[in-house]
Amino acid sequence: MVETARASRTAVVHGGGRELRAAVREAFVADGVEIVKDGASNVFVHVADADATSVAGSSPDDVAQGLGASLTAAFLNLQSGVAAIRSRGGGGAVVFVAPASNARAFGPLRQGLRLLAKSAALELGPEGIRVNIILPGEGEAPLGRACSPADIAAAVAFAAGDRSHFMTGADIVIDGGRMAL
Amino acid sequence: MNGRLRDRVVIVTGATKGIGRETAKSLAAEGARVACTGRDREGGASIVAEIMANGGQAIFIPHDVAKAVDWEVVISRAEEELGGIYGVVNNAGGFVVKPLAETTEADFQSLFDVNVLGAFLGVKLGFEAIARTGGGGAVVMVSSLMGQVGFPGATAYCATKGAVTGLTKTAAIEGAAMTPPVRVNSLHPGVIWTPMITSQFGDDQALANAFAADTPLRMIGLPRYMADAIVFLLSDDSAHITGIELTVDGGRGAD
Repeated sequence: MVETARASRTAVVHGGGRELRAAVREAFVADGVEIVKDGASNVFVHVADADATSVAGSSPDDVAQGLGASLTAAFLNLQSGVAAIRSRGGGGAVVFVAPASNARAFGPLRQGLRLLAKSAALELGPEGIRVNIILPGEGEAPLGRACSPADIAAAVAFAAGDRSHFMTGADIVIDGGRMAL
Repeated sequence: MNGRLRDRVVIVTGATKGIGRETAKSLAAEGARVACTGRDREGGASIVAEIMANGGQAIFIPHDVAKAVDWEVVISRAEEELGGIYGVVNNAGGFVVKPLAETTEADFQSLFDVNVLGAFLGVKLGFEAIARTGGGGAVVMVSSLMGQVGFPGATAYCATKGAVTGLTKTAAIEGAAMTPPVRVNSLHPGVIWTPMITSQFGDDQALANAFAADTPLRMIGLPRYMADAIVFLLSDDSAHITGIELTVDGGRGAD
């Protein structure tokens, strides 16, 4: 797998709030990655968004419009990201950012995305496209604070670049020790 | 020099070869002052010379990680010669490949001493040293994909690496309660082309190719990829990451 030189790398970032997008932009600048709107790129970042309702109280429409729409969007975005990386050539990296909680119906979305990343990693590895997922935590953690956009952005930059050259299908949990408990 | 670890003092065990050696070089390149430890004095002298030749700062300290007295010497020499400790990379490890039926108590005990007791002493005494420095810190346990999944012929090794996973998570929670906190994470390499692998299976290109063919990324793991992950886990880029298992295996464990 050969990724192109740092200076010429571009990324497409899909989804995410204003703060997270700004933090990712800043982290990418430090790594020499330029964010572009669309088209050929080396890196594709998909930040999952969902409007999850309660497990017991969701109507069929809630499920279809929340969980169903989010997973479908991730799947289709992944396909377009892979197409963009293929058109640039030389391999690349896809980074998912999952919702920060298993609460309400976010659990199946979070785990669905996680396993979608693994399926994609297995399928795309031979052509040098790596796929990893960031799993942020929610609320105050054992480390004494919540996960910040800068925390997520630093991990996105790591997963997107040469520093994670041999990493694919991996989870990067950023939860200040919550899941270790 | 990029300097993600500028002026931070880090102890790397088993730094004379393989993953530890590349890690020591990468940490130094990021501005860390590195205490390289191990049993091989010749290897130790050569890694220190290599780091110094590249403008970095490093010392070698002879070290059997299973001996608390050795750890005390390592920490006090590192503190005296390099400054207060920021981080520890518990990398030294042994490997035995034998079917379960042929694995002896002595095999198990010797692996346990290096892989588990050594890591336990490293994190315990590392915490004390990092607390003395007073600026917080980070510990990385170099575990294995075999700390997450089984591997035929490696019962004792898998058992020790599984133990390291529990040690890491518990130490992470205790480290999070320290002021300032100390982070602890485990790295889980897949097959990495190091003396640990080649001494068991042979240093043979056909075998390396077979491992690569069996890895989704179609490449053999190199020690420098692990060094990059260890830099990430020690640096402020992972400031909110503790108690995690970071798998860097070319995708082998994704299936």
